[in-house]
Amino acid sequence: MRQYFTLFSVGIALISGMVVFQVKSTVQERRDDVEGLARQIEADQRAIKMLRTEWAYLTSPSRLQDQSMHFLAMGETSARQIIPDVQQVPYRIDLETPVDAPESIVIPLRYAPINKPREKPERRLGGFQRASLIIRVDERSGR
Amino acid sequence: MSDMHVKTTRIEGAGKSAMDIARNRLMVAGLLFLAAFAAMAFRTLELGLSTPGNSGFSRAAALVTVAPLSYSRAEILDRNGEVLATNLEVASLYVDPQKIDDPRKVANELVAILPEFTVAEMEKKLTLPQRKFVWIKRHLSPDQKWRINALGYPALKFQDEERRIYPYGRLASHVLGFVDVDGKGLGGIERSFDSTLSWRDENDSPRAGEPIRTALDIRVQHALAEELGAAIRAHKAKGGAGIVMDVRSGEVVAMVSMPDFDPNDPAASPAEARFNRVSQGVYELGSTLKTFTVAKALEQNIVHMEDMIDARKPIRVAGYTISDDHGKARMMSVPEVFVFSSNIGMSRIVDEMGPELQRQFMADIGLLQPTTLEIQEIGNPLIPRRWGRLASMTISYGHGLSISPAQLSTGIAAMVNGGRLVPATLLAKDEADISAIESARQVISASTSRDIRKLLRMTVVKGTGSKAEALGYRVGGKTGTAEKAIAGGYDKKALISSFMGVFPMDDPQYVVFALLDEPEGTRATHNFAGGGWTAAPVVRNVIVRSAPLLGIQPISENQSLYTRVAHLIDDEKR
Repeated sequence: MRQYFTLFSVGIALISGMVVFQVKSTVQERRDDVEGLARQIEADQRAIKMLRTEWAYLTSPSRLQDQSMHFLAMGETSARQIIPDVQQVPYRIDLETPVDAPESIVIPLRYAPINKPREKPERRLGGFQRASLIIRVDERSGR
Repeated sequence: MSDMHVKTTRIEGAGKSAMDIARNRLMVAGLLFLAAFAAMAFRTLELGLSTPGNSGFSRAAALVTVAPLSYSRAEILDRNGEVLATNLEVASLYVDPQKIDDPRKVANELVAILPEFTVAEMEKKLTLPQRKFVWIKRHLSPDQKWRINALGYPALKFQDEERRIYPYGRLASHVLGFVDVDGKGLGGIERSFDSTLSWRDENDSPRAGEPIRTALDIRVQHALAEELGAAIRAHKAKGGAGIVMDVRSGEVVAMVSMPDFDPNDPAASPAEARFNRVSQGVYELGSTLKTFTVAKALEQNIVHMEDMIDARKPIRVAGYTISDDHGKARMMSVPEVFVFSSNIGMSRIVDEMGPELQRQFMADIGLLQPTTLEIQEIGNPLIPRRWGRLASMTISYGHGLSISPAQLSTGIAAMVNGGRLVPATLLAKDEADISAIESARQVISASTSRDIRKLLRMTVVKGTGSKAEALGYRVGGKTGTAEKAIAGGYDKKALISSFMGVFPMDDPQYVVFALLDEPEGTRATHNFAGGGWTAAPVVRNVIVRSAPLLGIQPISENQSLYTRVAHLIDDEKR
């Protein structure tokens, strides 16, 4: 019986030693992971700061305007294009009236939010004047 | 229990064999080991199963902290959080020429990335004898660094340095200012908030402080800068100034002074470019000051809207003749005097008021003190030494008193926002600050403020400011054209032309001011160089471009607001 007891003690000692060693090495592994993550976070923060600045540079209004002139040829928004409130949007579904009822689609009475005669084309100094120039050049070369 | 067992073995041990004794001893040792390992297993389990915090051991030892980024100076942001100024680590490239095997090949590859060098220059740098350290280029862009790294030459090395970057370049240069090589603020917000942005630690090395959120909206700033720049080029002006201010909070949403400079490289521009015409420059601003004269006269019941003023003939005072630029030579109602910008009519009104009351009012609305903007480039107003009858008459239409555009905008904001004088600021205000404006000092009554709004709107509809009309945005405003003062009089050719606009007039939100320094007339303006022809279109374009960004909707005007005043204005051409 004593023999068994000794063997039993040795077995327990071996097993618990191994388990503790394993736990410890797992902890060390995790710890390395966490430290790696911390370093990664710091590097990412640095990169984010850099990218935020680069974003500011790449989306600066003057650059966006240049790009839009070259690729989109869009002009400035005229007051006529802005509809001040949703009630004036034509052909919208009116949520107040039952679906499927003929009156549920709003037919516009007038499109222009501003009831004034058409604006005279004006001589412009700055802004989007160049856009129209570019279009004209393109048309000519297309012919 | 084990103790008892040990005792019994010893007592019986005397008669036992040596083998038994050895077994017993082994047993004791085994028990001790078992106890120790059991304690260890128990502790391991306890640690594994317990929740940190309520057990005895502390968690701090196990924590891994992420070090906060350390830079030597904090960021400056616009009101929407866009980065206006920041510190970045930039790489500088140097080379050890002794480790380069094929200088021509490396030089060719480098020049493809750094086109500012010629191949010959680069090759010379790469072949310098007896040197182990040669700078090739300071402050590379991240893209350049990446591409040079990708070349894979071990002789090319980088050194990290920190640098102040202004991603928007010239835009808002006068507001932001710039820093010197040691990172010390030398202008604008960089100078006035130097100690907030950066502080010295115990080793005297600079550390980033609190970031600053300015009131600027970079999109509006761009619209103002571009329109003003275009007008300056078209009219060959010496310079210009522009400001967009929120009338309720006093926040400066955009502020432009031309010529400007690039804060990334301030030395590249002449020193004059750093002069801030909005806050530092003081000018006789001309008719825009008529707004204040009329406001005070209406406030004190010195004149009423319906009163007729004699503007038939020029006035001679103290050897000086006051005449009209847009002369109608007739009796005029008060709205007509304002809308057609009659100097004669205005002089008659202020003559009724008296110099003392006028001076007091000018002081009340901050025209006699420097502006409250939080930068150090602030100009003092030039106030006449004797504020007598003649001075009061000329000041009534904007001559003889030099103020900065920032002061004017603050005063005009008070005229249209219901009469409260809110100090101008370059810093973004939060909601709590804005409600504090309710307690700002009342300088004119709300009803006078309503009258002024109508007069300003009528000036654009019927009077001198028609070029500022922007469909749907209900713009009001006043032109200002002043001859520059020279020794012994005024220079008829050199003008300060300005336009002060407010929109939308039925619920004023923003003041937009534009000024051109010595503009020349063009064919498009029929050779006129006055504020109504040169500066008013700038204000109009800025409003059309920025109103959608500022959340102001174009709507049909409620004409009935202005019927009464409109009836008092006869704008028939005769």
